[in-house]
Amino acid sequence: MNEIIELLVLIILSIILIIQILILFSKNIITIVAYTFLIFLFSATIFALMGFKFLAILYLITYTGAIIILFLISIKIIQPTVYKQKLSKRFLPFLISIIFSALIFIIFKHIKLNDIITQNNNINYLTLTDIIFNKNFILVEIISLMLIAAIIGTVNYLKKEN
Amino acid sequence: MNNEGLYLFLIIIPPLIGFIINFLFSRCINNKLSSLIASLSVLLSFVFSILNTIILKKEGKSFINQTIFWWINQDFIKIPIKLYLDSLSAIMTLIVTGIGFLIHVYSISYMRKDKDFKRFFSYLNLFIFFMLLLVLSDNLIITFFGWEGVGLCSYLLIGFWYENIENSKAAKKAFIVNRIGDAFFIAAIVICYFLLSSAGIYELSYIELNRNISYLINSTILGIPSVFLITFFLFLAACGKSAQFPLYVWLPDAMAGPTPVSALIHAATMVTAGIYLIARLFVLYSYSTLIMNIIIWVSAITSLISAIIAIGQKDIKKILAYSTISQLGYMFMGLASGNYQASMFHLTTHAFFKALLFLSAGAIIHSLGGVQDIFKMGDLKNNLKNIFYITLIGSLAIIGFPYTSGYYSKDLIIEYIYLSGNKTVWFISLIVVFLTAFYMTRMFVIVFIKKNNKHIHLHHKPDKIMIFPLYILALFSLTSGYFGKNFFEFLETKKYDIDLPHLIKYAPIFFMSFGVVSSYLIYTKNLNIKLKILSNLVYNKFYVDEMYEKLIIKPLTKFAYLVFKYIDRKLIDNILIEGLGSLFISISKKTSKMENSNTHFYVTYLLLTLSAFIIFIFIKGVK
Amino acid sequence: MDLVYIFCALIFSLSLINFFKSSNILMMFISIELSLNALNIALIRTLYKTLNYDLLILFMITITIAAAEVGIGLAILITVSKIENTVDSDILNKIKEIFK
Repeated sequence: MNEIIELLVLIILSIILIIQILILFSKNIITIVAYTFLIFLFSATIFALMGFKFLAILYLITYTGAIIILFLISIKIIQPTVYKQKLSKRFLPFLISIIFSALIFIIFKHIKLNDIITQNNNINYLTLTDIIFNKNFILVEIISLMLIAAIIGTVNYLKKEN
Repeated sequence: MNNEGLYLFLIIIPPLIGFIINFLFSRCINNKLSSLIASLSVLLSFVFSILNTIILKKEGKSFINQTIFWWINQDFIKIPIKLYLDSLSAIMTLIVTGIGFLIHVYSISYMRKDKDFKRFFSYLNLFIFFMLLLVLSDNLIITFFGWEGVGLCSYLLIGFWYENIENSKAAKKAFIVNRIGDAFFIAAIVICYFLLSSAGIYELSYIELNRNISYLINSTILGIPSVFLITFFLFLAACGKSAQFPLYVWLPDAMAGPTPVSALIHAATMVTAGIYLIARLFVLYSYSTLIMNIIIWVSAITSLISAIIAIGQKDIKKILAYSTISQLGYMFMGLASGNYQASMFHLTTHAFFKALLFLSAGAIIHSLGGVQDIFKMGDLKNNLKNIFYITLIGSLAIIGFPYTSGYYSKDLIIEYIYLSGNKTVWFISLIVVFLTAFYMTRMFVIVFIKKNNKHIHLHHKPDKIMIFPLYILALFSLTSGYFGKNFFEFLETKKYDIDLPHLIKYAPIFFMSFGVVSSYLIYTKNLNIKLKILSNLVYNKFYVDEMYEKLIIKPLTKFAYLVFKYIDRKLIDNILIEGLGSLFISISKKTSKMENSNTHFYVTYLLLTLSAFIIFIFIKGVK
Repeated sequence: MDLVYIFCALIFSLSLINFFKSSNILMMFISIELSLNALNIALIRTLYKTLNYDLLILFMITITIAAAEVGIGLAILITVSKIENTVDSDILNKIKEIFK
């Protein structure tokens, strides 16, 4: 059972990789946003496959429900003539990003985790609430405050400019 | 240690108060009050020193002291502000306050028309305060404090008429030359502290120095006996202050100051501080015969050279200045011949008659309206009769005319030199007697007796306030010699009478009379015995100043210029200051290009930093 | 050695390259979102393997940051594009230099 899940995860990851490459070569911004939506969807699928169904739903809600919609609306607001794709001709950033990825690659290769792969990874929701609202309550509060601040800031900013 | 003298501080306080009032509140008081305060404070101090001396002698103690307060009281060094009065310091205190008072009174008349009247008196009071501190201090450090203080006052008073650049230069010269001596003083203090602290004694008082003298005698520094080093350095310091051979050049120039200052500081009191210092540490000096030989030769040479120079001088004050140097040489010779009491005696009598001579010279200058050249004077015998007699007394005293004070004190020193066995120095001292008689007679004849073709205009005759101190000083110059025996008893020694062959005993009188007669004949009869080269040499003071200029000042100036040009300007200014600045400017100009608001660049540098961190952690090893 | 991590690294570097490729600010935002996504996958993978539930909070922080950043960033982008009529970062830089 586990092997199948692992295989499925790897297949979905490779699909995500292919979509990323597609994004790299596509020129229409709407297409890119659509690809992004796909990537988020597949990521949520991976989470679900690993047993974290709640997180998958959370992920879907935030990314596909909020962020992608936000992107789309922005694109709608900004004039379509504005966002023509243009290739950058800088090579140093590319080089550095490749080096950086290689470093991450090396690090991931060397990380050794104590594997506790259980048969059933379905989180007990009571445990989850315990983690969120007891153990890390203050942190979660800070996160939510941050989000609220961001929302208020955004609204305020747009209001002022108009 | 039950030698508490509770009233000692009263001696030094009045001049300080006088200084504070005259200096800080000069706007609140007029000239008359200012001079009154200044003179009375010194008089008060004189009275208190007499009283304290009486207490000292009456209770039969060898010394009394009083701790005013502790300046530094630590485990590793203890410096109290402590006054210490014994017979030696009592004599100095009496001289300083007594003559100081007379000169204060004299200055009231002399400085009457000066616009900086109050400043003058404040400086004089400050000088008296520092001099008393020097004399009465219990340890080397406070002595040094007073030493520096009198140097400062000397500087301030030489350059009192600072509008004239020559005066300022003379002041500067005096200060700098004195500082050379002061540096050696500091070195001596440091050596003393070093040696005594290694023996567990953290005080530098004279009592402790005398008590622990064995530590100083038995130790050496770099192979040199430390007692020699200390005494030699202190002698160099004394050379600076008391104008001995290598460092005497400042004293003739110091005559640029007002005449009362020359009388008080540069003849009677401050210049004798060096002799006082050596007399104070005489026990230490008596352990080294080498230093005694050095002192006796240096002082003999100084005395001879300055007496020769005095013959060729035109300026009346300069003649007296060189005469002072020569007399100080006598005092050092007396010290070096092993008898500090004799030189203290000469110091006292010298203080009287030299102050007298300076003050009467000041009176002459004052009444002639600032003329100092003796060849512009002449035939003052009839015009200034009282000054004539007073100067006559002073001159007789200084040349050692029989039964005046100089006769007793100087002859005593000469006899002690003879007794110490150094016959060459004895002969030099006799020649100096001859020379002293010669230049004093020359000055006296030219100023008072010789007819001058030019008409001499008298501005004003000296008034009573000016003459009064002169009478007192003249009295003491005549009579103080008789009290030699009492003086020696006061200093608790019985070495006054010496039995010598008559020929040796009366040799000084013979030399003196020979000098007087020859000088009188030459300068009244206009006998032109002139050796051109010699007179030129003498007039130019043996080119000592020029030699200093060539040998020391010029190379130093050149060196200083080089340092200025290459180290200050090039190294520090150009490279260190401006170079560093421009380096940072160029770096910041280059780095400010990173701040180009280009997101890609920002992210690039972010990634670079992150990569550096990752590499660092990876090399260190992830745990 | 877990292949998932390597995939994550690849996805991350691809999104970085995407970031550097374009000078369009909108594209940059999307790339940032994608790189954060790769990070999230790696996080969840670690959570799956170790069952250290503290990582969950980290995951939530990441999501929050992404959401907040996109919200504010897009708001700024919209106003800038309304004023300057462009979303190209290079052109915006040049305009800024003109205004200097």
